[in-house]
Amino acid sequence: MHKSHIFLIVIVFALFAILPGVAALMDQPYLLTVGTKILISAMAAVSLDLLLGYGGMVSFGHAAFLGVGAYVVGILSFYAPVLAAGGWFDGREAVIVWPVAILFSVVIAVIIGALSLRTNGIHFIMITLAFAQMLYFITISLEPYGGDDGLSLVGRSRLAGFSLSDDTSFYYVCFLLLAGFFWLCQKIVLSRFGYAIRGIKQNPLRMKALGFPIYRYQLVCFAIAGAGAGLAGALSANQSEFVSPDLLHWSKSGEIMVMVILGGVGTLLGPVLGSIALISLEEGLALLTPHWMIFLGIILVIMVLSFRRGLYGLLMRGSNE
Amino acid sequence: MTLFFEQILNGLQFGIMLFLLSAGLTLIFGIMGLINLAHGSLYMVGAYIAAIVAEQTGSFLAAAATALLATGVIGVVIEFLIIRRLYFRDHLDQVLATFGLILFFNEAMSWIFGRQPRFMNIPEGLAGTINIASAFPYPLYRLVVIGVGLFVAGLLYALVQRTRLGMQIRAGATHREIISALGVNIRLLYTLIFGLGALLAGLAGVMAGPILSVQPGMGEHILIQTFVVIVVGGLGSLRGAFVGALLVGMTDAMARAYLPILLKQVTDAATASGIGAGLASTAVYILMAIILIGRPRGLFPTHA
Amino acid sequence: MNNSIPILEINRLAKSFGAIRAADDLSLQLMRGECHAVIGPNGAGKTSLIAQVSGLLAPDSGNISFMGQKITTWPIWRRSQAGIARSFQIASIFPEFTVGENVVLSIQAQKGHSFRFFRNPQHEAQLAKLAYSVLCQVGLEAKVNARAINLSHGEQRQLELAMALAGSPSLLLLDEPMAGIGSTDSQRLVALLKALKGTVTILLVEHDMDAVFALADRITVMVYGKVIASGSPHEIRNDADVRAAYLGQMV
Repeated sequence: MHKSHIFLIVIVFALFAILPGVAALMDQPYLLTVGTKILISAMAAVSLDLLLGYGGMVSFGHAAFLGVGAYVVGILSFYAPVLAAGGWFDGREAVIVWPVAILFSVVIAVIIGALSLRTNGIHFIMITLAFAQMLYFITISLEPYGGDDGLSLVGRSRLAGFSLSDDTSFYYVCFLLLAGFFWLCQKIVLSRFGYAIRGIKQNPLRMKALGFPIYRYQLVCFAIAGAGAGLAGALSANQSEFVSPDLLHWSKSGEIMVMVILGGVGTLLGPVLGSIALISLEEGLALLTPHWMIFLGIILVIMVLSFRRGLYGLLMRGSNE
Repeated sequence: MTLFFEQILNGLQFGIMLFLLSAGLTLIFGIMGLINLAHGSLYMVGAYIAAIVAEQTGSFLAAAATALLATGVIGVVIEFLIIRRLYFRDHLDQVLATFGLILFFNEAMSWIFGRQPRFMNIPEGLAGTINIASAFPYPLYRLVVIGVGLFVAGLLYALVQRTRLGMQIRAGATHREIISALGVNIRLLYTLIFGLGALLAGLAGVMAGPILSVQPGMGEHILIQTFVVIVVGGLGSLRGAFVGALLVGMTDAMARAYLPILLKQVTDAATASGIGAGLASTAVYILMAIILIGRPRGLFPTHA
Repeated sequence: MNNSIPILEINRLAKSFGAIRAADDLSLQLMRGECHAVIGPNGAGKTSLIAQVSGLLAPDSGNISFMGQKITTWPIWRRSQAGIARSFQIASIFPEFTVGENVVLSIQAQKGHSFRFFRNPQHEAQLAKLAYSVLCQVGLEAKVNARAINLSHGEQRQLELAMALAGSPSLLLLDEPMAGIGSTDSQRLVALLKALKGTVTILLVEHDMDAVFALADRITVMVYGKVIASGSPHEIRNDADVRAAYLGQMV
């Protein structure tokens, strides 16, 4: 792997690692909240990049997988007293609940993928969007779980018994999970599977002629992306201790996609950069003016017109000179 | 029974408005290969300007004229400054850039006009209801909307089938790469198409003003449905946009009216309306999925 | 090696595009190890034939058997897994990958499944060795780390062939491999294909008559989707119908 690529990864994750310390020094616990938000969005964005940037599947319904993961956490937390009374399991134990959240997201991803992959191009985009919209409307009609208003969690998950209500501990859990997921994705894109899925993106006909049953590989890619998004959703539910249908709204899918495109499609680190940039801009500009969206919009337009490969491309070009 | 006819007309009216929006969008995507997420923003700007001018002057005609002029000008301006640099870029870059435009326009409207939803009065001459077939009353304004929409559809048909510009548009829809080789001024053509799309979107916004509330974000809600229409109708096809829009409009109106009623047969009233509303919202997507299974490229595909 | 059982049997194939008959009651047999050339004027249906054998195009009627199995309804990838490889007339490669990665991917397709998520296939000894030997065969070994998109037109054609050969196919479908390449390169290509004869069965669609007569064990002549003559090069050279169809292009 490129030296500058590794260097950039180290810097980014090092910055992530020291953020809690910096926040404490500056006595700005707010920074910790923003940082956690960035880590979680980065995980969602990286999982989308796997699907979009490496697999060439432009799914506009990624928020659905996040939502499923979040709602699993929310619903199990809702039933935690019942589960405890019946001696079943701890509905707030992360070691049990988070993998279940991931499992449900994977199942939904495989179902949506299996149906959507029969189409391509703009039709694929619209079908994935349609499925996500259906899930969105389903969650709105889930009256017992809050419906439109959403569902509050009793509290954050416990990790092997340890409480995650402390923001710093929770931040580091998110940090480690992002680092782990990122490492996993790096390995995947350079594995047999990764080359296969990248080949499918570049030239699907040739892949078939070489002997690859491409549908299967695309479906597995959907599953992996869904897993990452599901975990991000579970973490998101934990951070805000609240789940609502808004998490599945198509604008959420759009936001994640913006992070991927802004940061650099098909680069894995790009989405992380995009997440940092977008959320920092949103929070930072909001401090300056209540009309920060105007400037964010202008900045995005300028960035697209000026840079071709997103933030990642910009930084890599700079380091190569 | 009157409910049925009422919903048919509602569906028609909604469908006509969707047509005005999707006509522009299908040409822009079909001919210029551009994904324009900001199309809904032009609709919103049209609605806002019409609402404000109507408030200030009390004249609906003045409001409409101003809004159309403004939307057309704004459309041409953003085409010149931003859109034309996106034609040869990756679709994803177009998504990002036009998404930025959405943020810009939404916030600009909030900033200038405030966040409170605005309401536009139905123009005096068009208020009230009219008796359809001496059977049931239906809002006159909505009938006028349908009429105006059909009239514009007719104009578009004439433009596309009988004028030189229309010929270039049709050629552009089916053989994008060839028309520039044939000496057509592509730049001008694209700007005209984009401007026309903006005008139509603005018109839809003007007419929507008295029916819906005017607020930031109203564009995105209808944008998704517009994309469903052009995918169902076939990219680049005006005929497809017309048929698709009416189909989507009808499906939506019928589903919203009848699904809760149907559900009430099987479950209690509260659950029925809750699930019914959610299910009705998905009806349009289910329609799209069904059509795409039979006709993967839409009802009237253009490109060879 | 049993040479009397055909490795590829095309039986009464028919394919029409509107009024155009690409295949008209077409029957053909390929024997194992032979190099069988298919020639004919443009529009004769030669490329459609390759498309139907490889699985890209479904015939209207008729069937195709490979190694005794009916493959008419098999999808493209399954035929490839069975041992049919195809090279494309216009080089169909992976532009973002390097030459080496292109070839390794082609080999990896035929050597086990690709649901492996950790090891880099470039580091798999077996794949790397095979890739290198194929690249030497086509003469591209020096460019192993060049990005495919940066290759010259001729080099892309070489890569295209390397990818078809990489999977050690039993049947190689070549669609006008000589088109648009210079005389040195075509001489090298002829030598390469000559070396393959015997181990790999080749179905060669070609216009370059020098190459055809240098390589072909048997030649089939197609016009408007029909076979008008089929036999040894000598027989074809002297066939009156072929002469009429080609009007002295061949001597």
